[in-house]
Amino acid sequence: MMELALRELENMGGIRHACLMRRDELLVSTFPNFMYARLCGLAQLFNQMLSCIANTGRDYNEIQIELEDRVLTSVRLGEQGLIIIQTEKEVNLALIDQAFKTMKPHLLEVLQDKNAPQQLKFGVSVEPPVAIAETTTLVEWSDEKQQGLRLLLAEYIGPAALIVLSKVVQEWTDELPNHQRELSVLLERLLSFIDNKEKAEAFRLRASTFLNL
Amino acid sequence: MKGATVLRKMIVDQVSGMSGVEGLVLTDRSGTLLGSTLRDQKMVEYLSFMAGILPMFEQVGFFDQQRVKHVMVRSPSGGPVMLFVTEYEVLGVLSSKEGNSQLLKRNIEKCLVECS
Repeated sequence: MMELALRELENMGGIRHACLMRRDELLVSTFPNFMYARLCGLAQLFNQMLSCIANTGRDYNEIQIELEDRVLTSVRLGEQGLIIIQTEKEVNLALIDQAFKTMKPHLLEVLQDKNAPQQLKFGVSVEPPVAIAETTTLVEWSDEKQQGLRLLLAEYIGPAALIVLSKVVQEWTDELPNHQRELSVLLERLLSFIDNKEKAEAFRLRASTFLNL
Repeated sequence: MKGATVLRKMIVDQVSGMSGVEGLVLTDRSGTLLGSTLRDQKMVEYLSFMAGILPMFEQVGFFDQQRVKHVMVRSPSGGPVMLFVTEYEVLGVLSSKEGNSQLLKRNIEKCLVECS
């Protein structure tokens, strides 16, 4: 039902894809599956932006990011919900506002349903979505290491750590066979994303200890 | 070629004078504050934070290698906050609820093109 509702949104002019998140958990989406990790990262970005502006004492609840050929819009729903839509640039905002108002009660129902599965349905499905931690089948690698390293990296580069780590690990696994992979190489690549030299060195020390290098 | 300081002053003067603009903040692309007409320090800090966080997400491919051109943060009760991203600087604008935000956006974009 929820996917149908999102599909109805797409039928309105200019809307390409939509998804509903609870915190950074994807509940339902009509985005292509390969966008899964990126949507989770985007949700973190939007949540962080909205949380920070709450400190100004104003009730902002929607962010639009205009790129060269598209617009990403995120609207906060209740305490934990977030809807993200991708539209064409010249979209009718009044139409979207109206659609959100109409759909809001249904979206809130899904958000409040604790039994709602983590991923209800994917519209442009080729393969089931794969969580980031499951994309790595490395020697000497584990979900715990991935999660720990992500949290550590997030202290230095913020929520971008999720996508940075995913990207670097993916490239690392794509380039090298299992027996040639070295954690030190992975670490060096992550260091390139920390601009400040002192912070990079601090991260190196902590990550080396964590990874037993 | 206009000097950077002159250019910034032109932008700040022109945009500040537009109808519906309550105040603005100018930062470099890392979010370092270059100037502000806003008295609300929390809003200045927020706009600087927003300006600084965007390049990081561009860099790691969040947006398919596309550049962020504009950001609008909307509220059901107040005027929107807008960020205009240029090659080297970010202009943050706090606008009033009464104005037409789309018209204001177009006018500011036109001003940024003319001043560059």
